[in-house]
Amino acid sequence: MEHVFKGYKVGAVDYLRKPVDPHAVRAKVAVFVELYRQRKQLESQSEQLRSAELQLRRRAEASLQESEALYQHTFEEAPVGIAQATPSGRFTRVNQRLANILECSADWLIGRQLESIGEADDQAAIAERLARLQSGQSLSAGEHRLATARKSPIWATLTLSALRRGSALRQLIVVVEDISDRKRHELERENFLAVAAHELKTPLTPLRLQAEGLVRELAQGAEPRHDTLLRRISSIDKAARRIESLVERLLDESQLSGGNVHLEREEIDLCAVIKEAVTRVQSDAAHAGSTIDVQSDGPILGLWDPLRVDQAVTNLLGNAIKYGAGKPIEVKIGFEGGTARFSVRDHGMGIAEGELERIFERFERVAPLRHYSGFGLGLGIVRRVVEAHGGRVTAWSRPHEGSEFVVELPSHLPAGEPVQSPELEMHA
Amino acid sequence: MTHRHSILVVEDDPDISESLRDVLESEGYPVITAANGAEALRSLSELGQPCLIFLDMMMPVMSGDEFLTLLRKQERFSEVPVVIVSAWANETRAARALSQGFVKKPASVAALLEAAGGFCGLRDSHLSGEARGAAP
Repeated sequence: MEHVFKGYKVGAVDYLRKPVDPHAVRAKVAVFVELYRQRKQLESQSEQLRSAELQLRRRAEASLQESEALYQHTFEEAPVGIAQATPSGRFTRVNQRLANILECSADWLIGRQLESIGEADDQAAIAERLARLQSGQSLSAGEHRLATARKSPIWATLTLSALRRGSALRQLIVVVEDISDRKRHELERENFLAVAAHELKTPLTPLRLQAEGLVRELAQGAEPRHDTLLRRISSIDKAARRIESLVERLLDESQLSGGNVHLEREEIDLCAVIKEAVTRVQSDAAHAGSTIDVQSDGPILGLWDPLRVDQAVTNLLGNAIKYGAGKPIEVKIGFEGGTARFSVRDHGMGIAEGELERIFERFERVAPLRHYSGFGLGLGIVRRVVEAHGGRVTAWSRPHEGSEFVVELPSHLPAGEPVQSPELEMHA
Repeated sequence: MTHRHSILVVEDDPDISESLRDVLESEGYPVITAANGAEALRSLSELGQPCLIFLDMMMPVMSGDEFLTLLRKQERFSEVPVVIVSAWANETRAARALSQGFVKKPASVAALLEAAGGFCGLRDSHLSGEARGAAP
């Protein structure tokens, strides 16, 4: 037995007594083979479990990465500014769009307090929004003016939402949408309506005063002189026409701003159209103290819409009279390389360089309203009409030296068509 | 009927200016017109005190409020009655403090004659109260 114990001590698992009984050997081998098989099965199961667990972990990691990438993408690529902030309102993460909206770097924003992005007047209201979230509200949104590093303040919709665990506020999500363009359009619209009402009231005043005055005088038995009567009734007629033309201009502008300008082209002489327009505005120019000098050798023929071209010319002349400070106005008409070119030059107040780009915009007026009335549509109409003809309009101006508007209109006449111009006449 | 003093109409729109002149002259008021504030100041220095100034606000060269501020700085014109004639009710608030009345465009004959009657004579003072604050 001693040997058996020794054997167990050094790692034996069983023993057989000699002479060996074949039955016992078979039985014992069977037991050990079965034990070995079971151990192998356990090992394999354990291996499977380990690999399944690994796979699950990998899948979870991948899913987490994907989710983070998705969040990152949404966060960075969203067309709105997004930021995360602490419950007290300090930015911990901001997207590039927010930095762009506020014209600063994303790093500069980190650590700053939410309300500090507001304009001075809006900071208290933003702080109030933050306080509402801190006291349990889940969402708070509204329009605010935000300060920007370089430009003037912008209008934005600010949305604050709370991320909570239980009732504890864990994080704030801040969404900032730049709505400056919409606000500007709203403001333009309001201004435009106010100006339109004013413009319509201007001719209504003489219309009402002359009509009421005459009714009153005639009712009292007055016998006004024939020429006085004629002049005053003509003034009523003129005012009615002015109102009509204002209403037409308004309708026309809404049509022009609706997209394509419909042109009815025919062969016309640009010089004749311009001279006619000059004759029409001559009395307005005289009232403002300006003379209009036209330099042309005409005729200059082209396929243009006579009404639209007249409209563009009239607007440019009206502009020169209005801002010409009673100084002479010069109109030059020429033709070169298939393109007619005319310019209207005044010597008035002029336009500052930075404002020159804006003057062709709709409702834009660079002159102060207290001095100059008008819809602010005139130059916008000029540009649209000229561009519809395939031409272009450019402006030159210097403050206190006046402005010059140059219009170029391709003649659109088939090649070989005789186009008379000063140059051609000289060779003839 | 003639008046000792004239009425000064400061208005850049020639048609409005003419209609104001027609209405006032038909009632016997002598009328002087000026196309902007600067012209009005020149007229005043040449012609002296009018009994009333009808003043438009939005004018080139010199606007109504600029004119009014300069006018009130001159001692001899500090008391001349000014009635503002404008389509803008809100924008004229500051100027209205320096003036004696306000007629909203499109003005009525009654409102103008009430103001004229109130400051330059007694005619038509029975007319409707459209010239708010026009009574001296």
